[in-house]
Amino acid sequence: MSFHSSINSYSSLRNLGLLALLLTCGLSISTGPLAIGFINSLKGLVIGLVNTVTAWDPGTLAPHEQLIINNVRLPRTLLALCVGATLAQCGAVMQGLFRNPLADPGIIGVSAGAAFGAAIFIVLFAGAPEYAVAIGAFLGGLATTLLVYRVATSSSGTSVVMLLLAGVAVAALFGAGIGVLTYIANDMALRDLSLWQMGSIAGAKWHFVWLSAAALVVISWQFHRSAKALNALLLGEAEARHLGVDVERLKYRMIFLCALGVGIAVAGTGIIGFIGLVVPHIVRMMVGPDHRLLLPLSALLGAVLLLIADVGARTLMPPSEVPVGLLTALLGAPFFIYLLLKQRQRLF
Amino acid sequence: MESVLSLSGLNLSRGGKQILSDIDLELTQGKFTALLGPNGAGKSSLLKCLSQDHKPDIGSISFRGKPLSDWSQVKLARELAVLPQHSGLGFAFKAKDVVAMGLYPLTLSQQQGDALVTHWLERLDIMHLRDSLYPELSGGEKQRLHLARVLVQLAQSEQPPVLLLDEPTSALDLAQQHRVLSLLKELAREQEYTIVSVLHDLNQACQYCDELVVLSQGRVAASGTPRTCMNEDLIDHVWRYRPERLYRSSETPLYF
Repeated sequence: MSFHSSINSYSSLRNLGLLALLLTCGLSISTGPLAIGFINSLKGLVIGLVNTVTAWDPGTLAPHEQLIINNVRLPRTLLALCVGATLAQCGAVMQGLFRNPLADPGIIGVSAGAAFGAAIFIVLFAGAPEYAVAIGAFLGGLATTLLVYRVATSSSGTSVVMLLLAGVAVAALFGAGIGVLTYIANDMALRDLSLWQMGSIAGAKWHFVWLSAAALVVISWQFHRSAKALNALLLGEAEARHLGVDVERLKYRMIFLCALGVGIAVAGTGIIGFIGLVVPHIVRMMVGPDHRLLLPLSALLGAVLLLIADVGARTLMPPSEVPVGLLTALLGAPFFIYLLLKQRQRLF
Repeated sequence: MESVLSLSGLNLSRGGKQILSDIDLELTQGKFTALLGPNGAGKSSLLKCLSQDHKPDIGSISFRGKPLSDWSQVKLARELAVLPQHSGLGFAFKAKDVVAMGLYPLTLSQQQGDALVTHWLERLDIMHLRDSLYPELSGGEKQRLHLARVLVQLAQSEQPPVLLLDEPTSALDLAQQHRVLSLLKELAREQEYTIVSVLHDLNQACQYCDELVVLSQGRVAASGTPRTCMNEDLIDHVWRYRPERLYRSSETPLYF
């Protein structure tokens, strides 16, 4: 069978993606107020990664350069990588779960729910440890996903209209909730909140890098294990059940994992929209909807795209930074409108 | 003859409306059974009880002597496959990948799986469509594709498997209808598949099926072989239409 042809194109795309990932990581590390050459950036990347385990310095870069890489650019680069890969995969899985290519953590309100969960901890429990904020974001994301799923899905599938309307309603609700929190917040919390709603990777901290990396490993592994079942689910819930898929368990596991991924991503970077919409769509155009190929390639492309967007956020208006969430929205929203127009006949 | 599926005292209501009443049926191994009846008689609902999409209010269904709901999902999927009336699939899978979804409950190597998919694509005359994208196929092509998928699913059954079909020929042209029905008849006769299919065409049912079950207002109005159970009075009584009977030499009668 010529199934192997798509496998071949998959492995060449995967290799291309890995190369692009390396290059964008180098680009991300070399970009900033202090110019560091591209080759030196790659070397600094490797040294910096080793430095997370042991203090080893061959003296390839000047000490202040390595210091900037270790403390500022490397965590930022890794956080963008993890969050991009997580959001793209969660988007792909949600689209599979809702059997609709328009589902995205940002659009259906999951990110807003996660942000609200995080905001509660920032404002009402000022001084709460950051993992508490992440737990708040996870719980907010989980509650929202369950709510939207319940509202939008019936036995015959998910209605696009109900899905988007539920997303709008939920996003408005949590937006208002965040508004109330803004009103009662002190100045310090206020700054955090506004940053949260726009999404930014600036000021990435190592402990969020580790948290996001751990989340990325867990969800990637679990999603990969469920790839065939997710394919079957696209036939319909009853059909998947007839094929031997434990549909209820699969659905709730996927919802839990998406909330985990999106929650931790939001806790680390705030709301970064449209990665989960745009990336899986582009990958489907290249290799088709099979989750076994879609998920790993979405992870790679999501990481690359968010890294590029973050480099753009740093360089567009120096010396200040554009929040990267604004950039992804500026690029992603028109794409979303294009998808809506393409689907227009199927919507009503 | 061994009973594979047995239903006793089955009652189903949906939204306060009684759909099925006191259904008792024995479906025997290796028989091709047609579920017949006018619109709304409960054919699809009965099939959905067998596929566990509907849970009956009272009554029981047992499969090979064990309550249907006690079967593990994967094990059941290898022994019993369901072809629904409509299959929604909005994503652009290739045709062969849709058929390969039938491999889900099986434990086959990549090569064995590919060979199995190819086998059923050929048997159903859709090999030429293997690389076509699903949303671009016609209704009849999709229908044969899903039939191929459920036949792939049954490749590793421990005993001759069960196939539940809801109007498997509704989107096919005349020639394809006969091809598919002959294939099903052959599977029942030569490999002892137990096949239960909702059909609309009485003559096709009489021609291809071993047993008929005629439903009327949620009850079994008649059952048996085409020769013993089908006649003008039954059709008049159940469908409220008086047909004309034609005889071809030594064949089952035709009703118009």
